Amino acid sequence: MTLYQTTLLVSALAVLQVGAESAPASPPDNVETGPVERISPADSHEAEEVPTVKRPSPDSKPNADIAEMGLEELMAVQVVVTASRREETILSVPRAISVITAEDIRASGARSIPDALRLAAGVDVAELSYGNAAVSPRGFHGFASRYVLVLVDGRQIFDSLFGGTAWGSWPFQLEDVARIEIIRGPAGVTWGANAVNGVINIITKDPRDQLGVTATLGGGSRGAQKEHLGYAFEEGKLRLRLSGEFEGSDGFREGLSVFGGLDDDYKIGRFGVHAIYERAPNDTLTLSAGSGVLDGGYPRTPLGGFGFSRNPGSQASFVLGKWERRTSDDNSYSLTGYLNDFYGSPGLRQFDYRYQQLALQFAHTLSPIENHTLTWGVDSRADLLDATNSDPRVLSKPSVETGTLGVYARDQWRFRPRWSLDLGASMHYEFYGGFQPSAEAALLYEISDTARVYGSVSRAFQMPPAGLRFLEMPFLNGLAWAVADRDMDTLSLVAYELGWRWQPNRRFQTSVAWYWHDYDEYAPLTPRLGPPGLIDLAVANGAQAQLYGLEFDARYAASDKLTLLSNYTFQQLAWHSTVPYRYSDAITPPRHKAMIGARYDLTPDWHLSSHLYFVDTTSAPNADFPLVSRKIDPYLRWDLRAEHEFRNDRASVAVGVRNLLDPDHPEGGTLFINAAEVPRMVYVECRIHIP
Amino acid sequence: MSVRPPIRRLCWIGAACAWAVPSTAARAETVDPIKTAQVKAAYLYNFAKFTTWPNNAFADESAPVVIGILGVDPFGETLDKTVEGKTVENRKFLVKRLPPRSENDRTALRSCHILYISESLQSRWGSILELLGDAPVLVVGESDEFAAAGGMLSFVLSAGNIVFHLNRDAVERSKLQLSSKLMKLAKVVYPKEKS
Repeated sequence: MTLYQTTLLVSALAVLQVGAESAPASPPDNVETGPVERISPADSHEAEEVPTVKRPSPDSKPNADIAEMGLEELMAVQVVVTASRREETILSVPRAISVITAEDIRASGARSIPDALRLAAGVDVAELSYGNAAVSPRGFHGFASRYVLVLVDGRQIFDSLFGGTAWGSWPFQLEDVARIEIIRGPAGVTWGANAVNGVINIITKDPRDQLGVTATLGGGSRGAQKEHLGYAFEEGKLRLRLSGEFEGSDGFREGLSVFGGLDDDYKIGRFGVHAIYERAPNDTLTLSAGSGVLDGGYPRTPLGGFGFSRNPGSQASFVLGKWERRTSDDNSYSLTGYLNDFYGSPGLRQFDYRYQQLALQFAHTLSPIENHTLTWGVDSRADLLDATNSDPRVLSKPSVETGTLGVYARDQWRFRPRWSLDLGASMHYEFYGGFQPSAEAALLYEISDTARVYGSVSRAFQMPPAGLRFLEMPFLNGLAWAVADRDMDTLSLVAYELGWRWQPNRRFQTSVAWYWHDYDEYAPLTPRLGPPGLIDLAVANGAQAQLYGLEFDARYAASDKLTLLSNYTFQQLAWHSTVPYRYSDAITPPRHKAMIGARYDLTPDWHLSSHLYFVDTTSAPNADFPLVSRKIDPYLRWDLRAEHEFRNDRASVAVGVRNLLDPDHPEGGTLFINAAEVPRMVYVECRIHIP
Repeated sequence: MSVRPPIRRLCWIGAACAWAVPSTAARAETVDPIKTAQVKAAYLYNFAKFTTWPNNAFADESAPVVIGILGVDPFGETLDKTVEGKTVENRKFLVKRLPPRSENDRTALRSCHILYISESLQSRWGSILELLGDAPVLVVGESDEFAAAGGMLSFVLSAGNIVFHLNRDAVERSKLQLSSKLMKLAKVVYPKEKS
């Protein structure tokens, strides 16, 4: 039996075992069973709601505020008591966190997850074409942003070949997203490899929050259209959602390439099923599956040369099973297993690829000693990459089987009434990268009941994806080659952070974070004279970089009708290498970035919103001339939206415009596709909910 | 770096072993009664904020909003403290614990603006709701069956949170006007077949 077959067998058995043993379980976003704090699962219907994080805490939170809470906040209060289910506000988490709720997404008029991520402080977003976006907290964002880990309900989405997240390929259905939590800065102890600059954790809705039929229909500029249909029901202990949608667009019209048009037409069908079986509030089994089939989506690039190209597209599917169980007040487990199956053809004639990722994660939270909350866990994942359908000259190893195994432990110790210390460490092993440690220490001090200050130091690492070790890719009809390095080292980061958070009342919250990131063994593409081509771009470690910055955000519910939000980010990169930064296929972090938003309820049924974004000058890789970077001018993006609800808010019509100020502007570039200019987009959306 | 087969094998064994998780421990669920009372009391205040009573429901312009508690009182002083000093449309609150056997007293039941019926009276729901008829009383109860059985609002424990269900027909019969926000936030709205 081959390794591949063994792995499939193990995971099939594992899924069966989960199904068989699964005794029901706790709520789907059962924080304490997960290895990292997660924000309250409560529905966030109101803009003024302040998201909260539930995290293990040895002491009880005073409840004097409950009498002053609004309905939405009351719905979020946990009344089930265990050490690990006690609720604290986001105030007390010693790291930089942003939360984007479903209401934020709706009010912003975001058409995709990357679009929605513009709302968060410290997250760099650049749309490269209709279906591709460079997204990463704290810089290094590019076509394949390898230094951020994206999770959907705990399932990692990280491309086995290129690294990063294929935003346009995976079946993200915005209608089903409950919230997005962004952890800025390293989270390697909890999540292992690739959680270097941050984690983007997408959490989908509990079907209970969508009972009935939901239909949305939207259309707009560039032939954009989206039809979504969802149905959710609750029957006894089971609640289930089925949802599907089609999204299509002619793409963005203008491209940055001087060699031709853009060709980023995009047609995708997405399907998902999400079931929760709850025997008791503390014993839950979640089963989730989905698929996205994409036609188009990858613009052609001049680097492909003059030969025939394939029709680009992808198919991305997953199955996830999660069992969460709390066995006593301070003891909980979770077990998560998932399979990612991805087939992608970026349109170049030289290669396509397919990979399966099989993962199994176990986490256990307990409180062995008073004032200590310990979380430990085991993560394992197998990556099976198959590129045998590619040009045999392209991959030095067309089939790559690799795997990671990691253990981690983290203790939250409240050692004084106002002080708490988080200490964590992990060790991960990867077949090609060897052993890699991560560690973190964070100290939090409660200045007052409404203010906290924290400091942290942490180490995280980025494991090169298989493609960087084995993919040798010809450009320009073989004149240039990207050359892999099987023995390349892992990138490591040591990060220092200081933060302050203040929440004087329910209506106002603000935070400031200062950080210093010190990267080692960064691996840009280093140009050299061939063979095999005339010019080779070889992956080579050795670059060092420092990134430091300041992040600020604030949210103020000025009245029941008006909510204001804003954020500002300052970033500065110091690059130490003989090879320029642009060869890493990453966009330089913009020095200044800001957002100002306002949401106003004209009447209970009319909702107006305005979001203004500013992004400073950046320098981006250039597909036309790989050795010359492209300057991206600063841009202002203004999004407006008006929504009218009727039939007891069961139906709504919204009209809006994205990028009002500008017919189109570029946001970034990449070596690998012909990047686009982001156009002004007008849209209309209709939504009907039949309970 | 070359792959070392023994370590690689260990990884697979480790991955397989991760499944062998003990799964026999007993489950436990404990509800914090104090917090529960605080949340429900705050809900009652919020329900009052989003309800409009007909003018004839009050004796005069300064008459308070009467919150009646029927059956076992789960709130204790919490409810009194929650509504103390608060007003809705310039009306203060008055909390009344209805004496035992008030479930048969039509006048006592109808003298409330908000009537909380404890779960202990589950077997009497039908007759209580019948006595209330279409009186402008916001009737609040417990469990997911209460709203389905004709109560207007009911508290339901869901995933560790207290949420509420709503019966639209019961509200419409009573001539009370409830804000669409309540309809929107209710986890379940009865009757289910109506949109």
